[in-house]
Formats: sequence, structure tokens, C-alpha cells
Amino acid sequence: MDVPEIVSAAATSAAPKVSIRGLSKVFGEGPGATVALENVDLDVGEHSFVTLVGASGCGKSTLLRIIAGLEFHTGGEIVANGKAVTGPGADRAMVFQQYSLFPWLTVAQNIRFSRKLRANKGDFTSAEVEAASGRADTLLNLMGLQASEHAFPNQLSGGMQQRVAIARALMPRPQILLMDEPFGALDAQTREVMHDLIQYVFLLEKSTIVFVTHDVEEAIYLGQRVVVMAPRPGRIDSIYEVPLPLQRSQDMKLSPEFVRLKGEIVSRIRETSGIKTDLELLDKLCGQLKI
Amino acid sequence: MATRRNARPGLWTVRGPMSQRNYWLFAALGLLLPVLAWWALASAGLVSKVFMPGPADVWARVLKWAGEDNLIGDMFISIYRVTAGWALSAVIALPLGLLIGSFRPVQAMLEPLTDFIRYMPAVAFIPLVMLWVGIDESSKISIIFIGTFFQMVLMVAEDVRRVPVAQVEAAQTMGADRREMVELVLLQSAKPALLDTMRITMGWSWTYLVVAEIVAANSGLGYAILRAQRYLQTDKIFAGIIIIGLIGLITDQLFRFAHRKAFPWMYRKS
Repeated sequence: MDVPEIVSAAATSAAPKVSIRGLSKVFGEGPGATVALENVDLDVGEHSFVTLVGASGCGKSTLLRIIAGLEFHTGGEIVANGKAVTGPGADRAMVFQQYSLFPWLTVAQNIRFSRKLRANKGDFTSAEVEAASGRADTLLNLMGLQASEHAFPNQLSGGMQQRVAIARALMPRPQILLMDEPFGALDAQTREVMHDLIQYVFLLEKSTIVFVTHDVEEAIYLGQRVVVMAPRPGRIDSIYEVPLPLQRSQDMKLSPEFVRLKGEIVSRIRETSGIKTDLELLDKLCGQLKI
Repeated sequence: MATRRNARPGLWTVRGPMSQRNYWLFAALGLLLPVLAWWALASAGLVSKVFMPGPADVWARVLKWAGEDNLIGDMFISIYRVTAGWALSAVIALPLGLLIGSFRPVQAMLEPLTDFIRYMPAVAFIPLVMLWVGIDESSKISIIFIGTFFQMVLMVAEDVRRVPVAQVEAAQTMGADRREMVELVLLQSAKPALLDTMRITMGWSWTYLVVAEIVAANSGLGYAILRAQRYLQTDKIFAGIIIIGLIGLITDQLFRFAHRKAFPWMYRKS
């Protein structure tokens, strides 16, 4: 089979923010064990936007959760921000698909939650408190949430809730922002708005973002590199550099490069998923039904 | 064909909407019909008054009880016993359930044990309680405690376990430590469910009242019901049961009111 050209995954400059070597993950033990990830190598450079796509069961979410420290790997190495990952930490913020906001706190209180954790530990100066307050206001503005500052999450639409979730994740200035299908539950129009918003955040905050999605268009539009993963066992199949300028705009989705890359990735995912439509059988059925 | 404007789904649509007025109408109907049936049955004279006193007899008994037999005193002592047994159980069950729901080792150590004790009938503990605690107030409170506590612990633990995983993981990725996790996320998130659990277990505490007042009591609603049985005062049995029901109904509504006041974010929709 003709495997697409794999562009070098090595980070362009300095040490990568995330470095993964020979990583594997096995769920369960004994004969019932399933291999979720096998021999994964990946580097994520500073201020880069990497998207993970693949058929269901390819382990893309598991990989993201291992970077977050919410799941433990069973083999290999993973280093984030120069430290081996042993558990979750404030340096790696995560945005979940939904239901992660604290419904008993207002929008502003949700965004300031990480601040409250620090305050609990008592290690901050008054200058830092002021800076944090300014930070929260900046994020409220950035996300267009000023009017909803005192609302509770269940008073907001799905799109607005995700804005809060992103602002909350950005609040402690995380070194790495991990996003697990954050727009998967939103309608197509809201999703487009969110795409441009996250682009803006990426450029303005100079974040390092790892983004999991099952939507190839989303993966190309947002990512500088698209990592295609394959199932059984979960592994990295191929990595594509996106030939678009750093700053994206919606009309680029119609450009020939975009369309060509989308076609390539979609067919690659189809090949690796092992799911095929039996055309012969369909033909036979259609013949019987005289369609 | 003309289209019907403002076509509302009928009253009997599956999961259909219902106006506030209709709701109260049906609620009143549901309460009135049994009373009417009771009244009809009693006044038809088919059943002896010893077995089935009418509403009027019961009402007369309530007035007599209040005037001559210290109904208010019986009510207060019963409310005191129930509340004390329930509160004692809550004071221990809340922190314990929070720990069971938060930490697996605590769950493994305490949950099977609690499950085991939960199946032992509280009534069967009466002889033991009398032996250990004696026959004063604390023995009645103990019975209510035994009947309520073990169920309550398990429900509290379940409430804590039901906190959405995404909330827990979000807090972890924001750097919350163990203590912050329990105090600022699990407890806060579970609070509305916990108040509901408190409301439901309060109802169970009342069911253990009559049992508790078997134990050498000489006052209280449950005791009055048991004594009425000895003298075949069926109307007093009816009165006692209905009064306990009414107290329960009022308590329940108070809890619901507190729920709305304490957790406005659950009731506020855009």
C-alpha cells in the first residue's frame, strides 16, 4: 500500500514542550487486556498547534489524557515542560468536550477557580492578586463573556459554556493547552466561530496546543501539523504539515491545497479504520430492488 | 384544510405539558378522592366504627386529644426524637459518606460492612439498645439512628460518586490537591443531591418513630398510636397516623424550599 509521505515530526527549534518516546498504554491485565497505544513517538514544539485525528478507537483521546496526566502510560517515556509526567498539573490545562464547568459557580468564579486554588495555598503577593484580577477581565473580554460574567453555566448555550471552559483553562497561563474534542457537541455555525476564536487565542497567547478531534476539516483548519492515528492497536499512522499561513481564515477551506489535504487525510483514515462499504453487495441489493 | 392555531397538546399526551392551574386541580383531586371514599365508606354504615371511624370521628378525636391529652406535647417529643436521631445520623454520615465517595480504600473498607449492617432490621436491635443504652430518651434516639444511619451513609457516598468525572478532572488539571478536590469540588458539586438525601432520610426516620416509641415510652405520637390499639380507639390510631403524615408533608416542603433557596443556580434558566 502506498503510504503518504511523512514529513519530519522533529521540533524546529529548542526543546519540545512535549516529548513522547516509545509510549504504550495497555488497559486491563491478563487475557482481557487491550492495547490502547503502541510505540508512540511525538514531539510538540513550543508555540505550535498540533491536531490529532483518527478513526474511533485509535487512542487519540487516551494520548491526550496521558499528556494531561489523567491516565498513566504503561510503557515508554513522556516529558512535558522538561519534567516526566507523573500526574495532572496546572502547567497542562485541559478543555473537555462538555459538562466540566462547575455549575454552582458563576462564569467569573469558574474562570477564577485556579486562582482560588493558589489563594488557598497562600502563596501569592498583592501584586499577583491584582494581576490575576486583570487576567480574568482580559479573558472575559477576549471570550466575549462580559455580559455573562454573573450568569451560571446552565444559563448559557453550549458555545458560551465552552468559551468559559477555555477561559478557565487559560487563566493560570498554562504552558500547554490540551483540548479533547472541545467543539464536538456544538452546532456547525457555533463551531466556526469557536475555530476563529481559538486561532486568535493561539496567536495572542502564544500557546502550545494539542487538539483532539474526529473532524478532519477542523484538524486542518486549526493545526499546523495534523497527526493521523490508526486503531488496533492505537498508533501514529502519519503526520501532515499544513501548507497554510499561520493566520487562517474561513475562505482557506476552499483553497486547492486545503481540499487536496483533506481528501488525502480522509482517505488515509478510511484505510486505517478497516471499515469498508461492500459495494458489490450494495450493487446486488440495488439490482434486486430494481433501483 | 385550515390549520388550527395555537394547537396545544392535549392533557393526556405522553409527557405533555400542564398548566400550573391544572396541576393543582389534579393534586387537589388526588387528595380529596381518598378522603371522600373514606367518608362514604364510613357513613354507609357497612363497616363497624371500631374498624373504620369516619373523618368526623377522627377530627373529634384530634380536638379531644389536643384539649385533654396533650397532643402538642406528644407532637413535640416525637419531632424531637426524630430530629435528634436523624441529625445525629447526618452528623456522622455526611463526613463518612464524603470519604467513602472520595477515596477507594475507605470505600473498600466501609461499604461492604455498611451494606451488611443495613440489612439487619433496626427493630431487632431494640433489646440490645435497651441493654446498652437503657430506656430513657437516648434509647429512642438510638433506634431511629440505627434505622437511618446505614442507609444514609450509602446514599451520601453515592451522591459524592455521582459528581461528573469531567468536573473532577478539570479541577485536577488546574492543580487542585486532594483536600481542595474534596472540599471545593466533590462536596460543592454534591450539595444539592445531599440535601435531597437528607430530605428522603428524614422521611425514613419518621417510619422508625413508632418502633422507637415501643421502648418504654410514655409520650409521643407513636406511643399514643400503640396505646390506642390497646383500648381499641381506632379513631385515635387514624388521627396519629394522619398527623405524622402531615408533619412529614410539611417537613418535605420545607426541605424543598430550602433547596430552592440554597441552590438558586439549579433553578435559574436563561
